[in-house]
Amino acid sequence: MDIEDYLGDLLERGAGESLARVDVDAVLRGGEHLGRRLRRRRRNRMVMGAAAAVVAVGVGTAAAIDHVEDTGHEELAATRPTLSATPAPTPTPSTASAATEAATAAPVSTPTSLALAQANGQKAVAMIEQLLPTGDTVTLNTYSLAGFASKGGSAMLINDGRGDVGTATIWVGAGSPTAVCTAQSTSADTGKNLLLGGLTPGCSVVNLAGGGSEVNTVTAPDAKGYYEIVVNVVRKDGYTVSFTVGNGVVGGPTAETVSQPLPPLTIAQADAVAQSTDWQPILFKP
Amino acid sequence: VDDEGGYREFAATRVAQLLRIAYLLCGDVHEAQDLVQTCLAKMYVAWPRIRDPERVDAYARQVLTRAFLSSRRLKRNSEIPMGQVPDIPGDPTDPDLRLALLEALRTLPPRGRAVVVLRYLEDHSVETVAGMLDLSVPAVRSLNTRALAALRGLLAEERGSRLRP
Repeated sequence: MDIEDYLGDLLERGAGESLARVDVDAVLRGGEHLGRRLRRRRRNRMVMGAAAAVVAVGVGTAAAIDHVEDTGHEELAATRPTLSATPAPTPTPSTASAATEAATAAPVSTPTSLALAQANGQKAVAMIEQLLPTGDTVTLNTYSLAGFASKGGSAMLINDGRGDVGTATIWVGAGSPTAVCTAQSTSADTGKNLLLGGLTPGCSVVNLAGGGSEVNTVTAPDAKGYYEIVVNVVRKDGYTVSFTVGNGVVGGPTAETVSQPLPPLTIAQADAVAQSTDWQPILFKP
Repeated sequence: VDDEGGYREFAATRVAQLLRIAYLLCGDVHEAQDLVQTCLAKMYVAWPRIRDPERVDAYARQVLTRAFLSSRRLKRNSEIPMGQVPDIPGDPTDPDLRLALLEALRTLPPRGRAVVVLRYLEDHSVETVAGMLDLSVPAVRSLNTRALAALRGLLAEERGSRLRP
Protein backbone atom coordinates (compact mmCIF):
# COMPACT_ATOMS: atom_id res chain seq x y z
CA MET A 1 0.00 0.00 0.00
CA ASP A 2 1.39 3.41 -0.94
CA ILE A 3 1.66 6.06 1.76
CA GLU A 4 -0.71 8.28 -0.24
CA ASP A 5 -3.46 5.67 0.20
CA TYR A 6 -3.56 5.89 3.96
CA LEU A 7 -1.94 9.22 4.78
CA GLY A 8 -5.23 11.15 5.01
CA ASP A 9 -6.75 8.65 7.40
CA LEU A 10 -3.59 8.59 9.48
CA LEU A 11 -3.50 12.39 9.71
CA GLU A 12 -7.14 12.62 10.71
CA ARG A 13 -6.84 9.99 13.42
CA GLY A 14 -3.59 11.43 14.76
CA ALA A 15 -4.96 14.95 15.05
CA GLY A 16 -8.26 13.75 16.50
CA GLU A 17 -6.57 11.96 19.38
CA SER A 18 -4.33 14.89 20.27
CA LEU A 19 -7.15 17.43 20.19
CA ALA A 20 -9.69 15.39 22.13
CA ARG A 21 -9.38 17.56 25.25
CA VAL A 22 -9.25 20.99 23.64
CA ASP A 23 -11.91 23.42 24.85
CA VAL A 24 -13.38 24.30 21.47
CA ASP A 25 -15.79 26.86 22.93
CA ALA A 26 -12.86 28.74 24.46
CA VAL A 27 -11.17 28.88 21.05
CA LEU A 28 -14.37 30.23 19.50
CA ARG A 29 -14.74 32.86 22.22
CA GLY A 30 -11.09 33.84 21.95
CA GLY A 31 -11.29 34.15 18.16
CA GLU A 32 -14.35 36.36 18.28
CA HIS A 33 -12.88 38.47 21.05
CA LEU A 34 -9.68 39.06 19.11
CA GLY A 35 -11.73 39.76 15.99
CA ARG A 36 -13.75 42.44 17.74
CA ARG A 37 -10.55 44.04 18.96
CA LEU A 38 -9.02 44.01 15.48
CA ARG A 39 -12.18 45.42 13.94
CA ARG A 40 -12.36 48.19 16.52
CA ARG A 41 -8.77 49.17 15.88
CA ARG A 42 -9.29 49.10 12.15
CA ARG A 43 -12.27 51.43 12.54
CA ASN A 44 -10.18 53.79 14.66
CA ARG A 45 -7.45 53.81 12.05
CA MET A 46 -9.94 54.58 9.31
CA VAL A 47 -11.12 57.60 11.27
CA MET A 48 -7.54 58.72 11.73
CA GLY A 49 -6.90 58.09 8.03
CA ALA A 50 -9.83 60.30 7.07
CA ALA A 51 -8.53 63.09 9.29
CA ALA A 52 -5.15 62.76 7.68
CA ALA A 53 -6.72 63.06 4.25
CA VAL A 54 -8.03 66.50 5.14
CA VAL A 55 -4.54 67.78 5.64
CA ALA A 56 -3.25 65.64 2.78
CA VAL A 57 -0.63 63.96 4.90
CA GLY A 58 -0.08 60.23 5.08
CA VAL A 59 -3.06 59.29 2.92
CA GLY A 60 -1.07 56.86 0.85
CA THR A 61 0.21 55.13 3.94
CA ALA A 62 -3.27 54.80 5.42
CA ALA A 63 -4.61 53.31 2.18
CA ALA A 64 -1.73 50.87 2.09
CA ILE A 65 -2.40 49.92 5.69
CA ASP A 66 -6.05 49.23 4.99
CA HIS A 67 -5.22 47.27 1.90
CA VAL A 68 -2.76 45.05 3.69
CA GLU A 69 -5.21 44.41 6.49
CA ASP A 70 -8.08 43.73 4.09
CA THR A 71 -6.17 40.84 2.61
CA GLY A 72 -6.16 39.11 5.98
CA HIS A 73 -2.40 38.76 5.97
CA GLU A 74 0.07 39.89 8.59
CA GLU A 75 -0.52 43.49 9.45
CA LEU A 76 1.94 46.12 8.42
CA ALA A 77 5.11 44.12 8.57
CA ALA A 78 6.72 46.61 6.22
CA THR A 79 6.12 49.59 8.46
CA ARG A 80 7.72 48.00 11.50
CA PRO A 81 11.34 47.42 12.33
CA THR A 82 12.46 43.89 11.54
CA LEU A 83 13.35 41.28 14.13
CA SER A 84 16.92 41.09 12.94
CA ALA A 85 19.35 43.35 14.69
CA THR A 86 23.03 44.02 14.42
CA PRO A 87 24.82 42.01 17.07
CA ALA A 88 27.08 43.98 19.36
CA PRO A 89 30.70 42.85 19.58
CA THR A 90 30.24 40.91 22.78
CA PRO A 91 32.14 37.71 23.52
CA THR A 92 29.79 34.76 23.88
CA PRO A 93 30.62 31.90 26.23
CA SER A 94 30.36 28.58 24.46
CA THR A 95 28.98 26.36 27.20
CA ALA A 96 26.55 26.48 30.05
CA SER A 97 29.29 26.05 32.60
CA ALA A 98 31.30 28.83 31.02
CA ALA A 99 28.34 31.15 31.31
CA THR A 100 27.72 30.24 34.92
CA GLU A 101 31.38 30.50 35.88
CA ALA A 102 31.67 33.85 34.19
CA ALA A 103 28.59 35.08 36.00
CA THR A 104 30.06 33.99 39.29
CA ALA A 105 33.34 35.72 38.65
CA ALA A 106 32.13 38.88 36.97
CA PRO A 107 30.91 42.00 38.72
CA VAL A 108 27.15 42.05 38.73
CA SER A 109 26.61 45.56 37.42
CA THR A 110 29.37 46.80 35.20
CA PRO A 111 28.47 49.68 32.89
CA THR A 112 28.92 47.32 29.96
CA SER A 113 26.38 44.89 31.34
CA LEU A 114 23.92 47.67 32.01
CA ALA A 115 24.41 49.00 28.51
CA LEU A 116 23.74 45.54 27.11
CA ALA A 117 20.64 45.19 29.25
CA GLN A 118 19.40 48.52 27.95
CA ALA A 119 20.11 47.40 24.40
CA ASN A 120 18.07 44.26 24.99
CA GLY A 121 15.25 46.43 26.33
CA GLN A 122 15.26 48.57 23.19
CA LYS A 123 15.29 45.44 21.02
CA ALA A 124 12.34 44.06 22.96
CA VAL A 125 10.40 47.27 22.36
CA ALA A 126 10.99 47.03 18.59
CA MET A 127 10.26 43.30 18.46
CA ILE A 128 6.99 43.55 20.37
CA GLU A 129 5.83 46.53 18.31
CA GLN A 130 6.46 44.50 15.19
CA LEU A 131 4.11 41.80 16.46
CA LEU A 132 1.31 44.10 17.64
CA PRO A 133 -1.46 45.60 15.52
CA THR A 134 -0.67 48.94 13.95
CA GLY A 135 -1.09 51.85 16.28
CA ASP A 136 -0.08 49.95 19.39
CA THR A 137 3.05 51.25 21.02
CA VAL A 138 5.55 49.88 23.51
CA THR A 139 7.55 51.97 25.95
CA LEU A 140 10.03 51.11 28.65
CA ASN A 141 8.38 51.21 32.05
CA THR A 142 10.85 53.49 33.77
CA TYR A 143 9.03 53.20 37.07
CA SER A 144 9.61 49.44 37.20
CA LEU A 145 13.10 49.74 35.79
CA ALA A 146 14.47 51.24 38.99
CA GLY A 147 15.22 47.83 40.48
CA PHE A 148 14.75 45.50 37.53
CA ALA A 149 17.36 47.10 35.28
CA SER A 150 20.13 46.64 37.81
CA LYS A 151 19.51 42.90 37.51
CA GLY A 152 19.66 42.93 33.73
CA GLY A 153 15.95 43.14 32.96
CA SER A 154 13.67 45.53 31.16
CA ALA A 155 9.97 46.10 31.77
CA MET A 156 7.67 47.52 29.14
CA LEU A 157 4.17 48.93 28.89
CA ILE A 158 2.02 48.12 25.87
CA ASN A 159 -0.44 50.79 24.79
CA ASP A 160 -3.23 50.16 22.29
CA GLY A 161 -3.79 53.82 21.50
CA ARG A 162 -6.35 54.33 24.24
CA GLY A 163 -4.28 53.38 27.23
CA ASP A 164 -1.85 50.87 28.66
CA VAL A 165 -3.23 47.36 28.19
CA GLY A 166 -0.32 45.05 28.93
CA THR A 167 3.02 44.59 30.62
CA ALA A 168 6.00 42.74 29.20
CA THR A 169 9.40 41.97 30.67
CA ILE A 170 12.63 40.60 29.24
CA TRP A 171 15.62 39.25 31.12
CA VAL A 172 18.72 37.67 29.62
CA GLY A 173 21.30 36.27 31.98
CA ALA A 174 23.41 33.35 33.09
CA GLY A 175 21.84 30.32 34.73
CA SER A 176 18.31 29.01 34.65
CA PRO A 177 16.69 29.91 37.95
CA THR A 178 13.15 29.91 36.63
CA ALA A 179 13.37 27.16 34.01
CA VAL A 180 11.21 24.85 36.05
CA CYS A 181 7.77 23.67 35.09
CA THR A 182 5.51 24.38 38.03
CA ALA A 183 1.86 23.43 38.27
CA GLN A 184 -0.56 26.35 38.04
CA SER A 185 -3.53 25.87 40.27
CA THR A 186 -6.79 27.75 39.91
CA SER A 187 -9.39 28.34 42.53
CA ALA A 188 -13.06 28.74 41.81
CA ASP A 189 -12.63 32.50 42.18
CA THR A 190 -9.77 32.90 39.77
CA GLY A 191 -11.06 30.36 37.28
CA LYS A 192 -13.87 32.63 36.20
CA ASN A 193 -11.38 35.16 34.94
CA LEU A 194 -10.14 32.70 32.37
CA LEU A 195 -13.44 32.33 30.61
CA LEU A 196 -12.92 35.29 28.31
CA GLY A 197 -9.31 34.63 27.49
CA GLY A 198 -9.56 31.03 26.44
CA LEU A 199 -6.14 30.20 27.89
CA THR A 200 -5.72 27.60 30.60
CA PRO A 201 -3.07 27.90 33.33
CA GLY A 202 -0.42 25.29 32.80
CA CYS A 203 3.11 24.57 31.82
CA SER A 204 4.99 22.59 29.21
CA VAL A 205 8.63 21.87 28.40
CA VAL A 206 9.90 21.73 24.82
CA ASN A 207 13.31 20.69 23.53
CA LEU A 208 14.34 23.19 20.88
CA ALA A 209 15.46 21.99 17.46
CA GLY A 210 18.77 23.85 17.56
CA GLY A 211 19.60 22.79 21.13
CA GLY A 212 18.45 24.05 24.51
CA SER A 213 14.97 23.88 25.95
CA GLU A 214 11.98 26.06 26.58
CA VAL A 215 9.49 26.19 29.43
CA ASN A 216 6.12 27.71 28.55
CA THR A 217 3.84 28.75 31.38
CA VAL A 218 0.46 30.40 31.57
CA THR A 219 0.20 31.56 35.16
CA ALA A 220 -2.97 31.33 37.20
CA PRO A 221 -4.68 34.73 37.43
CA ASP A 222 -4.48 36.70 40.63
CA ALA A 223 -7.51 38.08 42.45
CA LYS A 224 -7.92 40.85 39.87
CA GLY A 225 -7.60 38.48 36.92
CA TYR A 226 -4.04 39.45 35.98
CA TYR A 227 -1.98 36.62 34.54
CA GLU A 228 1.04 36.18 32.31
CA ILE A 229 2.41 34.08 29.53
CA VAL A 230 5.94 33.23 30.67
CA VAL A 231 8.50 31.80 28.26
CA ASN A 232 11.88 30.73 29.62
CA VAL A 233 14.37 29.65 27.00
CA VAL A 234 17.50 27.92 28.27
CA ARG A 235 19.89 28.28 25.36
CA LYS A 236 22.60 25.82 24.52
CA ASP A 237 25.22 28.45 25.41
CA GLY A 238 23.97 28.35 28.99
CA TYR A 239 22.14 31.67 29.05
CA THR A 240 18.49 32.00 29.90
CA VAL A 241 16.06 34.30 28.14
CA SER A 242 12.98 34.97 30.21
CA PHE A 243 10.11 36.80 28.56
CA THR A 244 6.71 37.56 30.08
CA VAL A 245 3.64 39.30 28.81
CA GLY A 246 0.56 39.99 30.92
CA ASN A 247 -3.00 41.14 30.37
CA GLY A 248 -2.79 44.34 32.40
CA VAL A 249 -0.55 46.93 33.98
CA VAL A 250 1.57 46.04 36.97
CA GLY A 251 4.70 47.51 38.46
CA GLY A 252 3.67 51.12 38.00
CA PRO A 253 2.99 54.01 40.36
CA THR A 254 -0.73 53.28 40.33
CA ALA A 255 -2.64 50.19 41.40
CA GLU A 256 -2.57 47.07 39.25
CA THR A 257 -5.16 47.17 36.50
CA VAL A 258 -6.39 44.31 34.32
CA SER A 259 -7.16 45.59 30.86
CA GLN A 260 -8.33 42.66 28.81
CA PRO A 261 -8.91 38.90 28.98
CA LEU A 262 -5.88 38.02 26.84
CA PRO A 263 -2.32 39.36 26.99
CA PRO A 264 -1.46 41.53 23.96
CA LEU A 265 0.74 38.76 22.50
CA THR A 266 -0.18 35.13 21.87
CA ILE A 267 1.86 32.21 23.21
CA ALA A 268 3.36 31.68 19.76
CA GLN A 269 4.39 35.33 19.55
CA ALA A 270 5.91 35.22 23.03
CA ASP A 271 7.82 32.10 21.94
CA ALA A 272 9.16 33.93 18.90
CA VAL A 273 10.41 36.82 21.04
CA ALA A 274 12.08 34.55 23.61
CA GLN A 275 13.67 32.35 20.95
CA SER A 276 15.13 35.24 18.98
CA THR A 277 18.87 34.89 18.51
CA ASP A 278 19.30 38.65 18.75
CA TRP A 279 19.47 38.87 22.54
CA GLN A 280 22.82 39.91 23.94
CA PRO A 281 24.09 37.53 26.62
CA ILE A 282 24.73 39.42 29.84
CA LEU A 283 26.67 38.21 32.83
CA PHE A 284 24.00 39.02 35.35
CA LYS A 285 23.40 36.47 38.00
CA PRO A 286 19.78 35.43 38.52
CA VAL B 1 -22.79 36.05 4.75
CA ASP B 2 -22.63 39.56 6.12
CA ASP B 3 -24.13 39.06 9.57
CA GLU B 4 -22.59 38.12 12.91
CA GLY B 5 -24.85 35.08 13.14
CA GLY B 6 -23.43 33.88 9.85
CA TYR B 7 -19.89 34.24 11.17
CA ARG B 8 -20.76 32.33 14.34
CA GLU B 9 -22.35 29.52 12.39
CA PHE B 10 -19.29 29.35 10.17
CA ALA B 11 -16.90 29.37 13.12
CA ALA B 12 -18.83 26.79 15.14
CA THR B 13 -19.06 24.34 12.25
CA ARG B 14 -15.47 24.76 11.05
CA VAL B 15 -13.47 25.18 14.25
CA ALA B 16 -12.83 21.45 14.76
CA GLN B 17 -11.40 21.00 11.28
CA LEU B 18 -9.36 24.20 11.54
CA LEU B 19 -7.90 22.90 14.80
CA ARG B 20 -6.97 19.62 13.12
CA ILE B 21 -5.21 21.46 10.31
CA ALA B 22 -3.47 23.82 12.73
CA TYR B 23 -2.31 20.99 14.97
CA LEU B 24 -0.89 19.00 12.08
CA LEU B 25 0.87 22.13 10.84
CA CYS B 26 2.48 23.18 14.11
CA GLY B 27 2.52 19.94 16.14
CA ASP B 28 1.53 21.64 19.38
CA VAL B 29 -1.96 21.79 20.87
CA HIS B 30 -1.52 25.21 22.50
CA GLU B 31 -0.02 26.77 19.40
CA ALA B 32 -2.79 25.22 17.31
CA GLN B 33 -5.36 26.98 19.48
CA ASP B 34 -3.46 30.26 19.05
CA LEU B 35 -3.36 29.83 15.29
CA VAL B 36 -7.06 29.06 15.05
CA GLN B 37 -7.94 32.00 17.27
CA THR B 38 -5.88 34.26 15.01
CA CYS B 39 -7.54 32.76 11.94
CA LEU B 40 -11.03 33.19 13.37
CA ALA B 41 -10.25 36.78 14.41
CA LYS B 42 -9.22 37.64 10.85
CA MET B 43 -12.28 35.88 9.47
CA TYR B 44 -14.43 37.91 11.88
CA VAL B 45 -12.89 41.15 10.60
CA ALA B 46 -13.22 40.11 6.96
CA TRP B 47 -16.72 38.65 7.29
CA PRO B 48 -18.72 41.73 6.17
CA ARG B 49 -16.64 41.88 2.99
CA ILE B 50 -16.99 38.22 2.05
CA ARG B 51 -19.41 38.03 -0.84
CA ASP B 52 -18.89 34.48 -2.08
CA PRO B 53 -19.93 31.86 0.51
CA GLU B 54 -18.26 29.13 -1.50
CA ARG B 55 -14.88 30.81 -1.06
CA VAL B 56 -15.14 31.10 2.73
CA ASP B 57 -13.52 27.76 3.50
CA ALA B 58 -10.67 28.27 1.07
CA TYR B 59 -10.09 31.74 2.48
CA ALA B 60 -10.04 30.43 6.06
CA ARG B 61 -7.41 27.86 5.13
CA GLN B 62 -5.39 30.50 3.37
CA VAL B 63 -5.47 32.71 6.47
CA LEU B 64 -4.60 29.78 8.75
CA THR B 65 -1.69 28.46 6.70
CA ARG B 66 -0.27 31.93 6.21
CA ALA B 67 -0.48 32.61 9.94
CA PHE B 68 1.41 29.36 10.50
CA LEU B 69 4.07 30.08 7.89
CA SER B 70 4.49 33.59 9.29
CA SER B 71 5.01 32.21 12.80
CA ARG B 72 7.62 29.80 11.46
CA ARG B 73 9.51 32.57 9.73
CA LEU B 74 9.69 34.36 13.08
CA LYS B 75 10.90 31.23 14.82
CA ARG B 76 13.47 30.56 12.10
CA ASN B 77 12.97 26.84 12.44
CA SER B 78 15.62 24.75 10.87
CA GLU B 79 14.84 22.30 8.11
CA ILE B 80 15.99 18.72 8.30
CA PRO B 81 16.82 17.18 4.91
CA MET B 82 15.65 13.61 4.38
CA GLY B 83 16.72 10.91 1.92
CA GLN B 84 14.36 8.89 -0.25
CA VAL B 85 13.45 5.28 0.51
CA PRO B 86 10.88 2.91 -0.98
CA ASP B 87 7.23 2.72 0.04
CA ILE B 88 6.26 0.63 3.00
CA PRO B 89 2.95 -0.93 3.95
CA GLY B 90 0.97 1.06 6.53
CA ASP B 91 -2.03 0.46 8.72
CA PRO B 92 -3.90 3.69 9.60
CA THR B 93 -5.32 2.07 12.74
CA ASP B 94 -1.83 1.37 14.12
CA PRO B 95 -1.38 3.88 17.01
CA ASP B 96 2.41 3.68 16.91
CA LEU B 97 2.37 4.52 13.25
CA ARG B 98 0.13 7.52 13.93
CA LEU B 99 2.53 8.79 16.57
CA ALA B 100 5.46 8.22 14.25
CA LEU B 101 3.67 10.14 11.53
CA LEU B 102 3.03 13.13 13.80
CA GLU B 103 6.70 13.11 14.81
CA ALA B 104 7.78 12.80 11.18
CA LEU B 105 5.47 15.60 10.14
CA ARG B 106 7.16 17.96 12.61
CA THR B 107 10.51 17.41 10.92
CA LEU B 108 9.26 18.57 7.53
CA PRO B 109 9.92 22.14 6.41
CA PRO B 110 6.84 24.30 7.19
CA ARG B 111 5.70 24.68 3.58
CA GLY B 112 6.10 20.96 2.90
CA ARG B 113 4.04 20.25 6.00
CA ALA B 114 1.33 22.64 4.82
CA VAL B 115 1.20 20.95 1.42
CA VAL B 116 0.86 17.49 2.97
CA VAL B 117 -1.90 18.57 5.35
CA LEU B 118 -3.92 20.42 2.72
CA ARG B 119 -3.45 17.69 0.12
CA TYR B 120 -4.03 14.59 2.25
CA LEU B 121 -6.10 15.68 5.24
CA GLU B 122 -8.29 17.99 3.21
CA ASP B 123 -7.97 16.34 -0.19
CA HIS B 124 -7.41 19.60 -2.07
CA SER B 125 -5.98 19.54 -5.57
CA VAL B 126 -2.43 20.71 -6.24
CA GLU B 127 -3.87 23.77 -8.00
CA THR B 128 -6.04 24.71 -5.01
CA VAL B 129 -3.14 24.27 -2.58
CA ALA B 130 -0.97 26.43 -4.83
CA GLY B 131 -3.57 29.19 -4.60
CA MET B 132 -3.86 28.89 -0.83
CA LEU B 133 -0.11 29.04 -0.27
CA ASP B 134 0.56 31.58 -3.00
CA LEU B 135 2.94 29.18 -4.75
CA SER B 136 3.20 27.93 -8.32
CA VAL B 137 1.73 24.53 -9.20
CA PRO B 138 5.19 23.02 -9.97
CA ALA B 139 6.46 24.31 -6.62
CA VAL B 140 3.63 22.57 -4.79
CA ARG B 141 4.24 19.34 -6.75
CA SER B 142 7.90 19.50 -5.84
CA LEU B 143 7.20 20.17 -2.16
CA ASN B 144 4.67 17.33 -2.15
CA THR B 145 7.13 14.86 -3.66
CA ARG B 146 9.89 15.79 -1.25
CA ALA B 147 7.59 15.72 1.76
CA LEU B 148 6.22 12.29 0.90
CA ALA B 149 9.73 10.95 0.36
CA ALA B 150 10.76 12.26 3.76
CA LEU B 151 7.69 10.78 5.45
CA ARG B 152 8.29 7.42 3.79
CA GLY B 153 11.83 7.45 5.08
CA LEU B 154 10.91 8.35 8.61
CA LEU B 155 8.03 5.90 8.82
CA ALA B 156 10.20 3.12 7.41
CA GLU B 157 12.80 3.93 10.04
CA GLU B 158 10.15 3.77 12.75
CA ARG B 159 8.85 0.43 11.55
CA GLY B 160 12.38 -0.89 11.19
CA SER B 161 13.23 0.04 14.77
CA ARG B 162 10.15 -1.76 16.02
CA LEU B 163 11.01 -4.91 14.10
CA ARG B 164 14.56 -4.99 15.44
CA PRO B 165 14.98 -7.06 18.63
